[in-house]
Amino acid sequence: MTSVKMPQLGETVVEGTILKWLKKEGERVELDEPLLEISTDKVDTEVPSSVAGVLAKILVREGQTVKVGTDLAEIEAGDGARAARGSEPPSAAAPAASATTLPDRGKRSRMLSPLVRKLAAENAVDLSLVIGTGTGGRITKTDVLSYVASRGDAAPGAVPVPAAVAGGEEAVPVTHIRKAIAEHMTRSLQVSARAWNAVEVDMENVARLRERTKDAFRAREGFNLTYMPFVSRAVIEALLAFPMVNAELRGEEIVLRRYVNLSIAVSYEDGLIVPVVKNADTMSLIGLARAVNDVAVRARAKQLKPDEVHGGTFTITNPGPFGSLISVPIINQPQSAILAFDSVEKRPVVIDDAIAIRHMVYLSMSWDHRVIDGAIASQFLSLVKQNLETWDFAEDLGL
Amino acid sequence: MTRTGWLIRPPEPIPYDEANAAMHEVAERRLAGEVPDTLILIEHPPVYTAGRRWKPEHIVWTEDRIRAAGAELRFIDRGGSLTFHGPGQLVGYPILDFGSKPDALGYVRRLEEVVIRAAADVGVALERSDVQTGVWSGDRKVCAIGVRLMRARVTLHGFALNCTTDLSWYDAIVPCGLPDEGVASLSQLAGREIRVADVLLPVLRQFERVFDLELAPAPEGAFAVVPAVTP
Repeated sequence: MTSVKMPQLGETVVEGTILKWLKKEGERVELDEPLLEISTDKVDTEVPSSVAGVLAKILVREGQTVKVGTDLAEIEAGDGARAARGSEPPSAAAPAASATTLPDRGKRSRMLSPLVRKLAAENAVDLSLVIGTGTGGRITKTDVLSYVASRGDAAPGAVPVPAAVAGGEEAVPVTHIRKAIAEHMTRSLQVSARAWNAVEVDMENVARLRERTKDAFRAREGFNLTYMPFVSRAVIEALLAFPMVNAELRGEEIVLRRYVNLSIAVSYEDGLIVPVVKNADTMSLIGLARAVNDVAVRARAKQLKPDEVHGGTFTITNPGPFGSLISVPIINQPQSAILAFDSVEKRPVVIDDAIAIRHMVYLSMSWDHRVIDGAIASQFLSLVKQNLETWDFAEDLGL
Repeated sequence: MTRTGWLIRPPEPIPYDEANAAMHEVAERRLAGEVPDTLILIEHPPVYTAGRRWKPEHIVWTEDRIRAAGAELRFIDRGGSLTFHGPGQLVGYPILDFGSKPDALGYVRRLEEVVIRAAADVGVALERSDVQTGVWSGDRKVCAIGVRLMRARVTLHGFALNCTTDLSWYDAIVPCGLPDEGVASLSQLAGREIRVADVLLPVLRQFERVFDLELAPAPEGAFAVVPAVTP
């Protein structure tokens, strides 16, 4: 790896701003080919690559200002590469090189650094077998490590074994629920063609209604009135209008449902569980509020029955209380979509060409492109938005 | 030891796009070592150029209004924000190879020095600003500077010195993105007409001194786009 550093563009220049990367990560760059543009005061400068290879990693984003000498990127040197001045030597391709490239062994032994000696001793490396790539054939740390890696053995202390816990680290066991989440989520990404979009919803009416009724609601029901039942109600109506979003790909068929079993993502101390509110489409706003609260409370108390976490047709997750602005959830397979609603917060919005302060929220949805197309997803979200913005929920609350 | 370089001085104003292309061609050839360090001294028909740091609010007029006024608007690859070029303004594009150790800010300071000395030669005292690039009279900018280093070694773009420039052109923009500073011309400051032709030789001589170069007219036909003619 060769690191690209913020160049010194004059004695008084101490920092520069990245204007533009002219290459993407993974793209090939030739020796002296412009790699990025930086800006210092009124001077823009193209920085050419000092080495031919592949741009492996960009370390400083466009628009950021960093000090001279800061590492900006890493280039994996390729064929015909010339190491840049002051940069790391390219990592050795190990001992297969032809005899003519072998440096003078006598001289070399005198140039070993203490670190190289230590590494060689720890890994039982015969240094006469290692090809040095440093200045004058000097053996570097990288050379030793590459040699050890190519040797393929497991000498004591040999490099990357993902083993013992080091100082400052703590190992916790992977719980069965963690393992289940890991497998379920990974599998979802493996089988589905996930796409994503979002709408912004004006929650002012809902927020005002909730503010006005929350004390009476709590007194009557014994739990807090959240945004969840409102969003659920709006979503359920939209699911009935767009059954494709409430569907499951089953073999050669897409199974549409005329009912909604609503999965609710609930976080608790062990992780995440997704209980199901069955037949949610038959419930009033109050009914939904009670059902959602019921499964959430019992999930956190670990009192859910096994069949209460199965059979969902669509999932809602609500990271908002934890401060999230917008989310990209993973679909709860075999469902076809999952909706996230995040923080409801006051934002300035334009209404009739005036700026107003409104309670706003981002509703975002990950959906399986094997089943749903963008037009349906967008129309579905628009309908949810319309429901939340225009419905009068006051009557449903009975307060 | 004084090095020798070329001077390109077209007799007529050159449209911006044409000059910009020629400048880049010279720089490419300078990079390849085919030509020596070169100074292009030129005038442009009215044009607004937006450097890489431009922001929409720096353009006051609409593009339609700019076109209606007989000017062009170009988005280009130099440092800095908005500026104007037009009749009565001497524009200098030095194409210099700084080798592997470019001193970008030092270069800008030397360009300022050239203009300060040349203005003194025609009896106008100008100065640097502590914080802003360019050459100033108080809080009014007389000469704008914006530079790009090709491959971190060859200079592009340069300076624009107002001589008899109609300063109302600057109403269309926030020059260099600085809303609180004004613009001025040498003629306005001197209270008499100082034309481009009057500062041409002072600028050339001071440039040669500051950069330790001896400039001779570029050979005829050396550049396809810009005719090489001596001042």
